Amino acid sequence: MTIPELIGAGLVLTGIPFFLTGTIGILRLPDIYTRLHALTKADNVGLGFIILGLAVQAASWLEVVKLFLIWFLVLMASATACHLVANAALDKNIEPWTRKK
Amino acid sequence: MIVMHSESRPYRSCCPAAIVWRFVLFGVLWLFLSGADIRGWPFGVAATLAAVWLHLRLAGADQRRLRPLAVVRFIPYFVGLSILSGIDVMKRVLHPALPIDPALIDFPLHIDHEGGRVLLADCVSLLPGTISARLDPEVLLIHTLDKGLPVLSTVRDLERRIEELYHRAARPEPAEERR
Repeated sequence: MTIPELIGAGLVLTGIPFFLTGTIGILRLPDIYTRLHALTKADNVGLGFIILGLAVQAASWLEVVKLFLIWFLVLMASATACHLVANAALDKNIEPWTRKK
Repeated sequence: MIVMHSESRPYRSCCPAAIVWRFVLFGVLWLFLSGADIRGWPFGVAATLAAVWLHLRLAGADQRRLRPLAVVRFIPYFVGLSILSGIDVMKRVLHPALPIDPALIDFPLHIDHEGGRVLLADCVSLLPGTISARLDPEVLLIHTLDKGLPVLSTVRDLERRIEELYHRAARPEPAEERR
């Protein structure tokens, strides 16, 4: 393996636990709002590391620009989707889960 | 075929320059994403025109110019917070006791233009422990994963940094153009 391949593989492997967290969060967290936290944040960081890992192995700078554009567009889309889902849940009067005293 | 319709809200900046710079921006975006295969140009031009039209239609009347240097300074701050945010949510979700204490919090907004408010709402969803749940002109309703976090001061700091990204309004907008 070359050095960029090693670094790239390391970065991609770093990203995977974040995606896993997003999924575990969906299973463990109690309501729609808290699940949005896990999905939006963990997945964004996971994707960031995977994009970085692919970028260091990219064949040309064009590919690098394309990868970061994809990251940026997904970031915008997921932040917006998160807001819209939370907003829709509020409109439906879904009460946020709170810790019992 | 895209029909520019004339009713509903007026296009604020529909001068040729406004159309040209949007066309160039979205066109370059398309070239990068499509891998610049020139055979796809009819699709590229159609998609770019559609993006220009949508942008002119959806963008608020009180658009501000971005300060490029301020944007560059914002990126490391933003990336750092995103990573902290991912680690924070990871620690909470993987902890056996699931240490969360969610609550809804009202944040009084200071930003006086729509673009900045939308950017703030999007960035709040990437801060540790907060997502934006409802955006009104005066108030942003935030859902926090832990009401023990210093949410108001953290978001205020983010808001100040977002205000720095924009130039001040060049001239006061005429009242009838504000929608």
